[in-house]
Amino acid sequence: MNSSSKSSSLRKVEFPSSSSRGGGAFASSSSPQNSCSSWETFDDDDVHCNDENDDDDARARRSVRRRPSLADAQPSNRDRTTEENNNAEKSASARNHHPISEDVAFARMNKPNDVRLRNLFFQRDVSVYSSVAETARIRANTFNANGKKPNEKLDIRDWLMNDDGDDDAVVDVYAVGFQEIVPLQVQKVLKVQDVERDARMWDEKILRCLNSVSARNGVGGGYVKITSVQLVGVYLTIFVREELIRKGSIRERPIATKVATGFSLGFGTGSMNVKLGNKGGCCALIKIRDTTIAFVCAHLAAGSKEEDAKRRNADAAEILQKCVFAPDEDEQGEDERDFRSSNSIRWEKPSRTRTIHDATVSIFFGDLNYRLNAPKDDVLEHVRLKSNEAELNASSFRASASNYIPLLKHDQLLNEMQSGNVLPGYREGSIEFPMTYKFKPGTSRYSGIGRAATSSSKDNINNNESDYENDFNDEFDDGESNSTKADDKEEKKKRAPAWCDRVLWKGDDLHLLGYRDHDEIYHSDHKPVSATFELKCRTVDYNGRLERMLTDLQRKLDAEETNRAHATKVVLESGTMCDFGEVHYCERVTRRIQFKFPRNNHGNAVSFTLGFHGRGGSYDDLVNDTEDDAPKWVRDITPAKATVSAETSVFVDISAFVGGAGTIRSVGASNSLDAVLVIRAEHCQDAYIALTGVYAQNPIFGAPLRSLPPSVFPPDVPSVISTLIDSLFAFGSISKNDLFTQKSSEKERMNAVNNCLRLCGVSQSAFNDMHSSSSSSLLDDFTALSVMSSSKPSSSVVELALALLEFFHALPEPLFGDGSLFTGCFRDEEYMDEAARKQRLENVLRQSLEKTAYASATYTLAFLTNYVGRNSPSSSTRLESVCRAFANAWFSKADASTFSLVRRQEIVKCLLSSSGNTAATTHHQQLNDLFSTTNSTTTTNSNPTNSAAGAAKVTRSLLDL
Amino acid sequence: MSNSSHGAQQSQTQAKLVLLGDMGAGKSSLVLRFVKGQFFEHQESTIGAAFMTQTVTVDDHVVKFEIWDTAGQERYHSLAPMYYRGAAAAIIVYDMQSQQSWQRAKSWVRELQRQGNANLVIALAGNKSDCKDMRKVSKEEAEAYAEEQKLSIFLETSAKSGECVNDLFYSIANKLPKQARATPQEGGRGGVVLDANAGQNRQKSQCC
Ligand SMILES: Nc1nc2c(ncn2[C@@H]2O[C@H](COP(=O)(O)OP(=O)(O)OP(=O)(O)O)[C@@H](O)[C@H]2O)c(=O)[nH]1
Ligand SMILES: [Mg+2]
Repeated sequence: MNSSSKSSSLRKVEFPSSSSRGGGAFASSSSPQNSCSSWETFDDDDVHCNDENDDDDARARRSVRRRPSLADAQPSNRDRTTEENNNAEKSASARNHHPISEDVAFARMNKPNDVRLRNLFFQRDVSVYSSVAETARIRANTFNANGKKPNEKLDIRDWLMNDDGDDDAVVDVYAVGFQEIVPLQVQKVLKVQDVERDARMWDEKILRCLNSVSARNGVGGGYVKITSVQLVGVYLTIFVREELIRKGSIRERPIATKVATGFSLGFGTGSMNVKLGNKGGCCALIKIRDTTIAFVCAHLAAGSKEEDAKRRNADAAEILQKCVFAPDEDEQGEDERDFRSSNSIRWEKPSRTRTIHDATVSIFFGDLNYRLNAPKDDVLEHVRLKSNEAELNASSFRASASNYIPLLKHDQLLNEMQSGNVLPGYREGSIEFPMTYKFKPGTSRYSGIGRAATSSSKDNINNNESDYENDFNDEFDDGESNSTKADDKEEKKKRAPAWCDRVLWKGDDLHLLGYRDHDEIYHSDHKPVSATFELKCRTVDYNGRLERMLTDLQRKLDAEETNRAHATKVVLESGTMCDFGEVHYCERVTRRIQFKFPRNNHGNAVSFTLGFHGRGGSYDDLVNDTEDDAPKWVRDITPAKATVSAETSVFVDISAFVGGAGTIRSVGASNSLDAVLVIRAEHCQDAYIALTGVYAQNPIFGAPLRSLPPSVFPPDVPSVISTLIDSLFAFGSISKNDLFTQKSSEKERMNAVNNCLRLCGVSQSAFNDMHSSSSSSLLDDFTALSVMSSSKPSSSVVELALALLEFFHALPEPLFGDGSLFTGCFRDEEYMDEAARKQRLENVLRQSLEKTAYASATYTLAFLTNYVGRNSPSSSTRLESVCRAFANAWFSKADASTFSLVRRQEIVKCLLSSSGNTAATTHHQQLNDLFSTTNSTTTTNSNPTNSAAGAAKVTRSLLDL
Repeated sequence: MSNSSHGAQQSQTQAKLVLLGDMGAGKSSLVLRFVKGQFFEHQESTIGAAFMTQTVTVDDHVVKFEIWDTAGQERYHSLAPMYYRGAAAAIIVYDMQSQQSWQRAKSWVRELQRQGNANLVIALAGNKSDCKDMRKVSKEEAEAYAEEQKLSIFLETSAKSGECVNDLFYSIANKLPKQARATPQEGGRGGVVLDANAGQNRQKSQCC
């Protein structure tokens, strides 16, 4: 390579085209049958086509598209197909997962919710959970047989086994790939039996050779064929050392498949397009331990034009893309009957469908058909120059590497790979052998440098084959009937020598030991090529290291999730407690809580809600319970939800309020106010504030009727009722129309309650707070009331009425319960007049109510009857409002009641109706009369010390009058 | 070549697990021991509830626990239903040194049984087994009670020493009803050995 002569010859190759040659040849040879379209598509090697293409356009194209050289890493223009395939390739490798990891993930992490675990897992190196359990020696042999059957003379031993290595380590796997195993003539291509017969002949020959040698060398067990696949002329057959199966290194059934890329047969379209199969790839996948090895034996598109490289690129990409190893495709495996032992193998079923990218390593080999990007004549001239003139055979040419090494820089495959146009990720050993094509069959002499070396390309057009035959000319030479005539034709066709036969590989666990041609085989116009590899076969430690690693990863994920859930913590500035202290009946207590949200990475705005239930299930799903768990005594939370800024204090007012039987019941017998307020915001840990307080039980409101002190008179009526009613009489309630119509505010309720308590001589702290004087006597109270009533005459009377209603509302048991006691009263309703119904109702009251309740009811009814009055213009409106108010106060709340509100009102109305003639009514009519004349004097005369008794006394004294 | 379980389909269950029990019984400590392998003498009393996740694998079954550690203080009792509602399992913890916490545990059992999730796996854990000499609740009594109430699991544990803590959670994982297995992807379990001898051969050759 250093000598000047060599470099000069090299230069000649590098700067080839004399402008006169190409154009001239083209001009003179434009004959109709050479219409470029047909030639261009199919027959590539032909001189004419070459020349025809050598028009100005093509030259222009060529000069734009720089010749890539080995040193030139710039990607050249790619044709569309290659680009697409490249993209597919990239997206496959973008996953960037070790194929073994994919296998493990497939086996172990196949749940959708394993995604995060998978992602973590794929970041780990396979070596963490797998180890190299053994090394296997793999040998890939490729041979374009030129359609010739194997014969006895043919010695394939060196090709199969000799790798020039020092060590004669035993090869574990032989992958033998053929191209043109049968003559590629249309009629033969379609004769299936012949095609299979030829393949079997090769198999037998190979197996015989392997086993005789292994027997001689004392390698135990010999070899078995484990799979093969044939695509017309392309044949891939795989032999392994039986020992590997016996010891369990190979357990999974190999899968073989094929991809046709050649001529379309013209029927079917798209993916269904049926290909003739004259070109394509045979693929097989085997598994040693947990390492999968894909073999692809390919015969790519022929053609010596520069553009043909693109077709080969596309073929290779198509094979890689379409090659799918599906476990169930049993029919792909060729019949193994003829081979010792193989039929007794009980394979494990492959766990999944794999593509070529899922193989741990892959070997892509065969007649890849890449040529030299240099004018054929220049190459031939170079070869001729470097060969021994006398012999013109390759042995002298091959004698010195410097004879052919310079040509390598024109090798299309090297250039295309360099540019990333084909087989990305694949590697090739350095080529230290001469071009493997094209030889004069039976010799080691390159075709085209012999006697016909000077024959001009024009001579070649005078063949009388049809266009069709011509198209197939290159591939369809019949090796069997090879004649001198055919040889002559070959010589005339003059193909430039090239490294057509190659072995490439991919995968870090594969280590190339040897890469060579086999010059000693004269069988074909190609020389066989072989490559020997050492493969690290990995075993995944599923139950040990993998398990531990996955457990660790899972722990990590769990910790992350927990941390995420705890990432943001509400700062409870007012503490985890909120104490309402003593809460009195109908008296609101408001407390303010304060908290803030720390800044987190979810933005500055935080939306929170305050509620009484937390989250359930996974931390991220908030419970959207619509049911409100808030205790009844929690009255207002303002705001209960808001969007606030992080790091800014939030103030929320919470009130406790006990009023009415429902809230009292919610407080329970313990009288403790207890609830847990949950502050919840997205991306934030729930915070809890314990709300506490004590309900200061009221001696009157909420107390059971029977526990209340009775009044002296009327007997059995709790003094609070008689006091309220007597006071109502005393303050002229009868003249007021709107005693029971007004909606009461919380404040009014509280005042009414407190006034009532005062009236009854019971102190409630709130009352004391409001009225600085702590002493209270009935007299003072009445004075106060009088004062109030004089300044705002209506309010005190309304408050008394309100207190009466509140009292009934607060009773733990409503006076008439759920009303079921009255159910009997409505039988035969239609036949009853009002008086009869009233009679019934009163009877029921008398019989069903316990005596305090009965007394309370009749006493109140008597008052109300009076209040409603008779025949006055206002009596009907009064009746309506009274019925509405007491239908609510005396019966359980709507949903717990037997009767509808309308029915309840009817009951009350009936009880109030004037047609009845009870003692109480009469009694109160008297009372009423008395009150109306003497009310102001009575109050001043009285001097009671105890409120209940006092009230009773007032009543009594009034009655006595 | 180890007889690995790869290729077998794994199933995963997400399980809400709630810890209930008197304050100071050691609920938080048990969770902390299980999840982080830690123990603190001065574990803070829980406010409201605390959440953690932990995934365990039992045979081929993966259980992801979503653990709600509730507060034992009575005031937080009202929150408890939120956490045991929809739970797959509950651990009721008592401090074997305290009769009160044992009574509390029993009332938790009653409450859970009342709320009527028949599939709820209830485990009873007598904690602080490192202090056996201070014990106030006998193992026999608790065992008998657990049996009588048909509780799934009873164990005496120690968050301090770690005794039986993993057992507790793993037995729960085991007791959980396995969810329907995911639709097997093509392939599935390989290794159909048709020939008993072939299998034996392989077995044998593995040893050498
Ligand atoms: N000796 C001993 N002490 C323990 C054990 N488990 C917990 N403790 C201690 O008991 C105390 C209470 O433990 P926690 O885990 O906070 O109890 P808890 O049930 O979560 O209490 P609350 O959150 O208030 O409901 C702490 O001081 C722990 O250190 C144990 O197994 N042995
Ligand atoms: Mg705790």
